[in-house]
Amino acid sequence: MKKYFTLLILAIMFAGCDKDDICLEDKTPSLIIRFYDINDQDETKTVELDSIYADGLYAVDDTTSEETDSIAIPLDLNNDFTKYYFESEGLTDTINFTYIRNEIYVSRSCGYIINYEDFEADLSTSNWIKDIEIINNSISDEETAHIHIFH
Amino acid sequence: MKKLLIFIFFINIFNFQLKAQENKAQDSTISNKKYYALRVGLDISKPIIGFTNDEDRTEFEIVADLRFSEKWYAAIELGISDKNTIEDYLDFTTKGSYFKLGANFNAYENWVGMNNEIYIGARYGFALFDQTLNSYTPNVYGTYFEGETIEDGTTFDGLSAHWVEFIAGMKVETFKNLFLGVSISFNKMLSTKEPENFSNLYVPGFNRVFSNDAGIGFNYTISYQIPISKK
Repeated sequence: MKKYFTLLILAIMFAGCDKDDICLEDKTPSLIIRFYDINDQDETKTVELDSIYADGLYAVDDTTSEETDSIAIPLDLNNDFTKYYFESEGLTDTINFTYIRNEIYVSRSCGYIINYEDFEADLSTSNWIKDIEIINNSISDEETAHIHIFH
Repeated sequence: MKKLLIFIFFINIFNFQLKAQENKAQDSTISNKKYYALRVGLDISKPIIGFTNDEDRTEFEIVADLRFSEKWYAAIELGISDKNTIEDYLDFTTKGSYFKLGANFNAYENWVGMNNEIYIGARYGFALFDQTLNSYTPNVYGTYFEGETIEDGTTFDGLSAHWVEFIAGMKVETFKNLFLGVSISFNKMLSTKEPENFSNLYVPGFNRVFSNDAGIGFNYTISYQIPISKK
């Protein structure tokens, strides 16, 4: 009998419980932008960014003096729109992003994340950005670009 | 809190040993075959934890067991729970009641006239409850935009859970017919009715539900054996 008792205690100790205090799963996805050539719309084209910043905020990380053909920027998860300024070689263009926010339950440690549906973009000035094209109007992951910017 | 429990626990063990020594000297001709003893009691750890914890927590559990053979006891636990849980991005309240039904096997060889137990047991548990999502904060990378806490207040009602428990514990007769008991349990969820777009992270009686559907339980009971004269 003592044997079974010891066995039970050991089982309790080793069966244990999964650690689920730290959020390791998905978080709210960012908007993925890829830059394409306006003259050859199948080719990506790098852009010399001065900065990208949301209305009333500072520059998003990794967007200052950056030469790149793709960038991830967060959307405002407390509002149904985000206004972003894109600065390149002294020229600034504005894009208004609008969307519907869906709260998705993930886990104890991560709580809820936001997925964006009915995503739309409106280019209000056209100084260096010539055109934009929405590739995916539902933003639920960061696997591929959601929007292409032609310049 | 922990210190207090450990202290009580050791007093108990001490008492246990004392009893053991007293009883050695007793007459060994007294018959120990008094089966069918009913014991009722309550878990005193839950109200104490409720008082000392920061989280809003009111839990109450009554326990009963019936000895039906030399080694076997049928056991039942009934409880109610109203507990607030605060996580990094969540704040919710679980309200409900539960019962657990099962048996204990006493592995302790008592001296004649003694009534102590070191036991292992199993339970089937069932709970009915509601979850209220008080508030949550959407989770996002970085600090460029930070989620604002949303006061939600949605109540998911009519939820239920079934589970099994494996228990190890001990009971000591401290005074005539008065028992102090301590037990720990390893719980495994069988099935739950989950709320939509949320999860049963706490279940009355089962306690915290870990991500692998496992849980642990603890109780510390005072119970009284109702004297039934039956030879």
